Amino acid sequence: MMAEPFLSVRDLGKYFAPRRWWRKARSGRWAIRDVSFELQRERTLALVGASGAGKSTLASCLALFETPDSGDVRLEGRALRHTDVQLIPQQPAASFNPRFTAGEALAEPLVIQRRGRRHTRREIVERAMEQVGLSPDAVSKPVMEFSGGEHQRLAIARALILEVKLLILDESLSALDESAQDQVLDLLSDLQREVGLTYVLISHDLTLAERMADEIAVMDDGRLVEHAPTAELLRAPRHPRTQELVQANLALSEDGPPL
Amino acid sequence: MKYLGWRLLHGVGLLALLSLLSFMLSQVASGDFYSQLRNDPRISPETVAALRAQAGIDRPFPIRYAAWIVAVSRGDFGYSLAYHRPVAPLLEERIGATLILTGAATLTTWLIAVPLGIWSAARRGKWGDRVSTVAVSLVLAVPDLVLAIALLVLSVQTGWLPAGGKISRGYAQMGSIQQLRDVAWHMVLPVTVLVAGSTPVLIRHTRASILEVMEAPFAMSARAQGIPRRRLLYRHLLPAALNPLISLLGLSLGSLLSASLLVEIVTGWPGLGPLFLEAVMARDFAVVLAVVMLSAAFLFIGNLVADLLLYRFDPRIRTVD
Amino acid sequence: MNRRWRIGLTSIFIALVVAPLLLAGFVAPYPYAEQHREYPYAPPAAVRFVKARPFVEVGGRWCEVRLLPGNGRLFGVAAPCVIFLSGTDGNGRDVFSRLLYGGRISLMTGLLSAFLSLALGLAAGVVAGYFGGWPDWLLMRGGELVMALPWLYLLLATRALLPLHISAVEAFVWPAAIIGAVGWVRPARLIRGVVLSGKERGFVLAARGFGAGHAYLIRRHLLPLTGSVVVTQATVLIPLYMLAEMSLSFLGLGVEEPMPSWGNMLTEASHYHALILHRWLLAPGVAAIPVLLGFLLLADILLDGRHD
Repeated sequence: MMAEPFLSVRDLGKYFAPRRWWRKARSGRWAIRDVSFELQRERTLALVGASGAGKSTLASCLALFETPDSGDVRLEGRALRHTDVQLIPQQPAASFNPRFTAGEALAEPLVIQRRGRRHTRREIVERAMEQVGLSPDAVSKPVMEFSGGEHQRLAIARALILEVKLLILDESLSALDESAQDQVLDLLSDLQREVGLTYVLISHDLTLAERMADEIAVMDDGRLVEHAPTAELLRAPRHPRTQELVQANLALSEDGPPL
Repeated sequence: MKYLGWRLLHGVGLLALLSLLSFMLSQVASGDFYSQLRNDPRISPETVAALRAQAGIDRPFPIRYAAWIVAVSRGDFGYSLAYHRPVAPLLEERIGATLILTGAATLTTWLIAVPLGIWSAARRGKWGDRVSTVAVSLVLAVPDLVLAIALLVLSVQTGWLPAGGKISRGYAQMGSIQQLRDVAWHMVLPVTVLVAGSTPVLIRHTRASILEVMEAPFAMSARAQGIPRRRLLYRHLLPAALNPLISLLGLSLGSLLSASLLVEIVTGWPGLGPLFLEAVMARDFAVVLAVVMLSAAFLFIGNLVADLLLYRFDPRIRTVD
Repeated sequence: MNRRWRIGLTSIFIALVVAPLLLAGFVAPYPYAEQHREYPYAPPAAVRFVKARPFVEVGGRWCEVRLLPGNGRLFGVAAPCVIFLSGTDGNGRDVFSRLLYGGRISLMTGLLSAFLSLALGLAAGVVAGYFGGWPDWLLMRGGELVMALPWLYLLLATRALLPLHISAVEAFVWPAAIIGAVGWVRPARLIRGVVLSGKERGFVLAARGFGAGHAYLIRRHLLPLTGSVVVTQATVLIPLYMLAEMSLSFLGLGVEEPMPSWGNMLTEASHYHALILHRWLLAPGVAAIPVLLGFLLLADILLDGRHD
């Protein structure tokens, strides 16, 4: 028998309907449906697909922002908890309260989880900032004074503080320029080795997926239509939607540098 | 017109709930019409009890509410203990007086405020606009109550205007034209106070509304096409700016009725205001309830009319419907 | 002039016009209930300056007005003389003194009821906006019910539920309580809106992702968001509620004699004899104007800030 997979997703579904509290939902649609996959520790899975394919809903379910209407997500054989997983959004600036300093923002998960005391929290925060390449001196700077790439790092640092095992990168790199993207990519792969993180990367950009992911899963209309190791999937796409994506990507890279 | 049906249903439901709530609250109120009598040593507690029984105050709540509903559906709104009369005819005399006051005030307010608001907006940031903005704040800071008393002082001292009331002595002997002039003459003071209270708010809203449409892309392009300024203002901007003002028509009715209550009492105008105050003072709950329901109905109708006007003039709402 | 300056200047103006009211016990030459039976409806005192020293005329005699005469008051005249800067009422009470004490009551009523409205509105708005569902439905329909009446009608109807005459302390607290309780709807709706949009913001979602509970989210993230709305509403509500107190007391349903308030002082001013003979009784109405103006201007600046 095979070893228990690190992350296992079974028949996951999320139904959206205009709901009123006094009656059951009448009409709606499945944003994602029957999604199942497994992922081993310290691997990176890229979820790609057109917009509206259900990538973000899946990300929200994996990050526990949404409660799925069917199926379940298990980590190391038990139900996923808030302290296991963090989502890094496309615009991480929005995920920080503008009234907070960097220190307050990073310590927030510890406060919520009632971990540590004031001075030990500060140590943890400063260590996390060093880990992501930010100066610990910036701890009392308001979060709004950091740059876009630094917000990305802050968000990663905040995830590290909780010692999560799984990071969901929801288009996290799409808004950055190329050099900032490279830096964050390097940081992420360093962290994967040092801390032992597992990534699920949500992206519409196959080039990025190719650079970073060990395996790629393609979504279409709320379903997972193909899931294979990166090289294999790019070499021999099987599902028509995958073929389209690969071709579009080829066309782009022949015309010039990827956008 | 499904929309109208819904609004009507919603309004009727709201009024029904309001009546139930007011009725329930009037039960837990401290004291009733006969409380004053109980303190009078010359009247025995038995007499008071008999009077209460006769008036039906001691019956259980559901029966009284049902009786009240029946009375409303018959159109007499119960029986006033203070006036020894059914409430409806009492109200009839007063409603007209209040409506003529608020109606005249609304009309005057709009006639003054909209042109002034446009004028102010057209001269934004210039001398005239600044003066009018300051003047608006100043007028707003004068309480209606104070203005009403000050104007009464003025009219008593100078004799320019009648010192309160609705009609002069000898009204009955006048011809109908004279009677009309007499009432109009008495209306000048209370209407002035009401207009002074509601004009600043409307000027502000008109100004803001016009300024907003001035910034709109369609106004910019119209200006770029060289449409004359005056034509632009009245033919293009005003209709677009009017929509938010129409909903204000409904909303401002509430504050106008409130102001009218106070002004009626100060100037002795025989509207709903003085009747309501007397009823509150005398614990004449049938009248209190009737006036409460009536003022709520006015407000509802006012908002409904505003909505219908909006529906008529604003194509966007129809597409939503 | 930039916004910060305008707020500062307006606040200073408010402080200046409100200070004499708050210091009524010091600025007023007489206690508010002190009656000078020999001087009913005395007209305002004529103050003359002789060699830069102020004198008032009382019954043909001239008495010097002294600063800090030693009775703990700002100014006064020696014993047989009296000083009524704004005349007296029918009981021979100094209108100027009563105007200051009355202003204090009106102001306090405004502050207290605004505080109450905002507290209720905050609670209702946060519950409705945050939890949604049936509490939201119930609160908003309840709000519609309250807003279905013109506010003065609502105020009087609510007042009708309470005993007609009440003790002195109650006479101050009850009007404030009624005015405040009746006014929760507008702030509640505004705060509900802020909370409704706030709870979808990234940092709130993120905090929820860390497993934050309702109490933490509301206290640490959502309540601070409502701050500016609460402050702006306070400046809008305070003058409105001072007017409400004046109206109620004027009608004899608010603050009661012998305690003065701007409203109940105006009751006498509206009597026919006062219109003809005792115009100085209108003084409290005039005194109200700068105070109301200050708050209205401040509210304007704050409301305007939304577009900056």
